[in-house]
Amino acid sequence: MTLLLSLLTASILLLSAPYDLLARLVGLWSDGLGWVGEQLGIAMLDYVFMHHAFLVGALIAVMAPLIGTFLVHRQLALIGDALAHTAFAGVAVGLFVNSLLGTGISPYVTAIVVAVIAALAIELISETTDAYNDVSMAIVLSTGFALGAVLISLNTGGLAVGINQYLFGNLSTVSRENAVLLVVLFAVVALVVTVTYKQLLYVTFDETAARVAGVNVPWYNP
Amino acid sequence: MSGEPEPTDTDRSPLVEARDLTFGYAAVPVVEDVNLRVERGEYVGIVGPNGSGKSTLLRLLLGLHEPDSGTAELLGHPARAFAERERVGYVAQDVTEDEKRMPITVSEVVLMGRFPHAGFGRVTEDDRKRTREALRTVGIEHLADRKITALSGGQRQRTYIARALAGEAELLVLDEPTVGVDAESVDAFFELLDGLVADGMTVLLVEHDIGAVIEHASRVICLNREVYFDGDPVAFAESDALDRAYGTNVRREEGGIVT
Repeated sequence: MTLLLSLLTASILLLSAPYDLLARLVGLWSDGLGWVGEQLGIAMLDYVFMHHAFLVGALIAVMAPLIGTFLVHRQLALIGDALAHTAFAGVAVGLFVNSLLGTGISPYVTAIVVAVIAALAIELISETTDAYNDVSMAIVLSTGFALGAVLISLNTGGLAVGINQYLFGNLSTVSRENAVLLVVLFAVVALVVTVTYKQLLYVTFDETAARVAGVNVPWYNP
Repeated sequence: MSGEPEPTDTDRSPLVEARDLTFGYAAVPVVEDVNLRVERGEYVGIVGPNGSGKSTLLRLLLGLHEPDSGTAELLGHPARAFAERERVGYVAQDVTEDEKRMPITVSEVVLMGRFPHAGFGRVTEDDRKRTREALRTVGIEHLADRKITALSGGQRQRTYIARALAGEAELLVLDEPTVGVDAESVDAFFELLDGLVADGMTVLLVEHDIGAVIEHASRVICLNREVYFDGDPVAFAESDALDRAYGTNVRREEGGIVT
């Protein structure tokens, strides 16, 4: 459980400090890809949005299986769906808070925060009720989606227009800020999985034996 | 480390100790007032009817449940503290077979026994060497690169024993390890355990096959919520503890006891 919390704080810390540096890094990637496009005469590499799309696509291609293999073997495959839908609630919360207080928090950040809380809730519910993870996932999914729908409709004033973009997204509209956010997430996920790989493997394969062996199992759930 | 370590206070203290241990999942206790000490080098078999709390007692001793009253100590530490757990090897009823289909090889499973030693560090060459040694000890070295799901029940249980050995466990805790294992493999399995005990391993075994326990263990504990008998296997076979613990559905036959 605490794993996710540390993940969250780490990404927030990473994001706040060297944003400029990371943005410059993404810029370098852009320049490099542009140069390759020029040399090889690939027209689509002339566009910055394509540079970002390639970067984000490649990072997700590595990051998703890193987590996904563990999730599938722990029969948590549907958690992706559940969290995506609660992330919608997160977007709604972000937009709601912004319009209420006039702040400029990125809805993506609130989406991550709410998704992490939802993940913790899924684990907490299945721990305390001893039910299948499917049950708690369904509870969290429908709660999150309902909450999001309520918050969105509370917000009059053209907000519904933008919601599709957050919900489904489009690889070619990824901005530099979002690319930086993903680079940070990638670094944190890769680091955490690398360091705790053995523990994750043990807990995934045989949770009881892992507990007997002294692995702090709640730490690695979900 | 190789060879016998210097005896210290921890080495002389019992490996497992339960005092007035009581626990229930609901209001009714499943395990009541259990007092138990397991010394180094003992081979203890726990028998009892279905639902008598055998497995629950093991889980209490391993710290997987919080006792309602009384204390459980493992290796001289409270069981719930999970201290020095690399010294304990646990082999459960084989539940991985139909539940999980992880594409993982036998040697990778055995290597997991080294994980508590490695912590967050890397797996070293020494860890791999111990893994191979453990596989050789249980006699499945030739299966090292097979998938765990492709093994028979008996071979899989040997894998889990090897995992405990790779972790340099001093105490082996087995919860009905022979469920779903064919008769021939069961015999070989008990021979393997005998050999490990001869080499100084302490074994705590929950087993439904009373005959096998009487034949192999050095001490029998008969449990049905409370401890009905604790002592020598020969004395146990002659006592009426079994009848009292099981009720009257027990027939005694030549060459063993059939429930």
